[in-house]
Amino acid sequence: MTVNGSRWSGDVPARQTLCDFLRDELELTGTHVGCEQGACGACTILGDGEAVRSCLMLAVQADGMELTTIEGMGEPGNLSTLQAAFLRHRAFQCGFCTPGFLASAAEILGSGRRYSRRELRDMLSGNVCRCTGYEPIVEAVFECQR
Amino acid sequence: MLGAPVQRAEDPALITGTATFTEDLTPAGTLYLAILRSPLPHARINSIDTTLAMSSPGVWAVYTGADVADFVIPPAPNPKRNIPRRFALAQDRVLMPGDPVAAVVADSLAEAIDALEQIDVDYQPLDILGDLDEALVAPPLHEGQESNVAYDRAKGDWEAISAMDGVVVEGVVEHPRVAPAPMEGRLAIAQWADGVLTLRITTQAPHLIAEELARCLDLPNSSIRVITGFVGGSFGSKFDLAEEEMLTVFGSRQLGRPVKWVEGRREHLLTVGHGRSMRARYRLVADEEGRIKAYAADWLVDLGCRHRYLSFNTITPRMGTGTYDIASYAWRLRGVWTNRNPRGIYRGAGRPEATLTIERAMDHLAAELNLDPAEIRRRNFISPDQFPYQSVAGYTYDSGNYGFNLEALLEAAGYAELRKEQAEARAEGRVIGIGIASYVEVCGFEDWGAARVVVAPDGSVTVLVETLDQGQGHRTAFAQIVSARLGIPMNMIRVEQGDTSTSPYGWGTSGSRSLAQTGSATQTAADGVAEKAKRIAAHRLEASPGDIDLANGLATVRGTDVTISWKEIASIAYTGEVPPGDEPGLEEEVRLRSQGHNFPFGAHLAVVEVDPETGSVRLERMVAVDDAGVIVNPMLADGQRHGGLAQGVGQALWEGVRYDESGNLTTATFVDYLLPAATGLPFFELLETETPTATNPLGAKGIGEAGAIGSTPAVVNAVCDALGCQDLQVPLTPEQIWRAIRSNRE
Repeated sequence: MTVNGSRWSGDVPARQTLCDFLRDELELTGTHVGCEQGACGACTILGDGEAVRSCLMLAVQADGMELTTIEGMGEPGNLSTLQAAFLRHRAFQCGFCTPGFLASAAEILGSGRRYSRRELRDMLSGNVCRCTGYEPIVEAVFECQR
Repeated sequence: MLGAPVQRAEDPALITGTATFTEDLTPAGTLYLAILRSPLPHARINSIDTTLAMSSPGVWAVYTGADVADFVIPPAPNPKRNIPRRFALAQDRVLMPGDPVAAVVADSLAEAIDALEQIDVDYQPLDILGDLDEALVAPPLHEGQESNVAYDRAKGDWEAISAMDGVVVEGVVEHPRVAPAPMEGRLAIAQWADGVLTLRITTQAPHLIAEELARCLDLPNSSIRVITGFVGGSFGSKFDLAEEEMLTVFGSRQLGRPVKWVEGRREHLLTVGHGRSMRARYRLVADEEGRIKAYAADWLVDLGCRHRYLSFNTITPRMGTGTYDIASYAWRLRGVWTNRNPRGIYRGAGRPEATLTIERAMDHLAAELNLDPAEIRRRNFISPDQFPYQSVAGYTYDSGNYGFNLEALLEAAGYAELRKEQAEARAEGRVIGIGIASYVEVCGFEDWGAARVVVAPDGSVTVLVETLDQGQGHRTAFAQIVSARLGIPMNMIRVEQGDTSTSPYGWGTSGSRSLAQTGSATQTAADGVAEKAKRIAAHRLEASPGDIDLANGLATVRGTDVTISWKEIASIAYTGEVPPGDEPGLEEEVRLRSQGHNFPFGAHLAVVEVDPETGSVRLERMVAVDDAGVIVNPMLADGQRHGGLAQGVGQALWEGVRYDESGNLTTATFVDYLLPAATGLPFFELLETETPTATNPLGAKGIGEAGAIGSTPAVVNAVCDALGCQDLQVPLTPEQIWRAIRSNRE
């Protein structure tokens, strides 16, 4: 598989989830696990450009895929447009859910379509944020559509 | 700098996944701990067989109750106060679903969980205490206690109020259990070296955790170091020491290796301290004009099976009368044991229960008298000239202007127009409701805040605080305060927290105390540093300290262009000539006691539309006018308000911990326990009034919990307004609304 542009190959335990593989084996600890039940979206990453719940997928299922985690989206001093918008709007407080939101938002923006704020609220509802009440997140994603 | 929406210094790390949360740490040689939990709400443990688990691959140890019988988890047991003893693992009985029964330590988490499945426990199920009314009369859960009523406190003349003439409304307000549910669960990594315990833990209060551990282990505080990195939210749930955290400490000491425990989401929803967890009965007596003559409220608290921090607290009855001038008040507060997990702290912690109760009662009274809900409040508010106001419940409200605040809300919402639109919509068959709620809460629980401001020889500043930012933005707010007082840029100031070996001792973050208490201590410490810096500058510049101004990184003799740079002052403090009477160095540590509590307040308005066919509620508008005194950073303050509003709305519409008739938790996943999502929330309309407090030098009041206090009753009042009934209970599920609509039609 390819993770953030780097090729990786090797054996993984059959029962290892993708999020545990990323965190424990590759030490990409920016992916956070919020519920292990596929309900909160904190662990969302991009798999072949689509938003993927890394807690619901086994590492072996990612065989041959191209994965992008938060570590592959930008770095301090060289933020992506979306990250910069999240920063400007203060679209996070504790920051635990943020990597997942960035992945879901990247998928939405990847469609190239423009959505209303109302539509974005619906589309972002697969991710839970307990701190912000969502408004700044919606604003940040809306702004990036321009 | 003060009052500006300054961005947070920690944000670039958080937005790029490079911020270190405690779970991201795995010290060399770490072992993992997993916990076998009771599948039953109440049972006797006949036997536990751990033989197979002990020989399971990767297993280092299996612990049961007998292994940890010597450790008392705080609070200390107290038979006189009916506080039972708390163990890290069940002894002979389990008292709630999810009660820790055994623990496995293994090389990996997977191996630990595998081994859990090899443990054989023989349970003998016992009768359960689920229903509060039944628990009141059932045989006691705890040996040595006379009943399940752990405490029964009352004040005021209930009988006199019962006999009082006038317009009377009575009702019941349920405050079901809710889960704090931060996105990051609880977790801990314990490590011993040379007799010193280092506990890395996600918490709000590192020093309190260290203190509780010291008591638990009978060790000196100085042998315990608690370190907390980034915290993924808390909302009350990571305040006090829990069984699981104690087990990592025990296992690590036994095995001589670091031991890590990470809470699963199911574990969180099962065993975290649930918030609210009360039932209230109210009686409100008024005259024909709607002026309140008396209020009585009886709160029955579902304590769960054990005592935890704040379990026995009386904040709710003491805040019971809210924003109203009520002369006659009677209350009763009873805590009842049940086979559920202990009631814990959750955003608001006692004030939401007070507010929802009286705000429902006020709307009930308004409906009874056919008065507008805004008008009934106007007629009863404590007036501005009554402050400081001595409430009949015993608190001294510092400052407030409730009427002005409500009028600001009504104007912002376009209240008169809204009522017209509501009437028109009703004529079209649409079910629209408008709800308002006024709240006042209590913060700054008469404790002190602690901060140390240290200037290095190069002029850079480290601020060490006892509070623990979990996303609020303390680092930024405290740096703003120091920047304003020392006249130096923000990028010269770093705020450090979360290491008990360096940060001053203090209470941590809770009860909306951080800015008012510790922010004020930070300001006072910065002032001490500024005074000394001025003396050093004056000495060098041959001027009087009183004539020195600190600004733009310079000390300037007022009215002249004679200056010395901040960096030079810092350098002189350590290596140059300090003024006679001063010692070398430039730092100050301050513990600052507040002059009493502060009482933030505000008013919230909700507009809802109910679908009469499905019973679902759509929250159309949420307007909030909050007053938290002086605001240091409006961006951070609004973040607190937004988050609080979302949680308060969540409590009103979706959130609720549920148990089935057998006492099993049926909301153990986020699929079953519904948190607010973006789709269910409107864009919040925020305004503020500013009534400073004299209780602390910043003039700031708490802001962390306000949103969660006012919004719940506003939404409930809106739905009750829509349906024209007074007995709806949170969460306002579609089923409940649908049934209410059907019974209205009959």
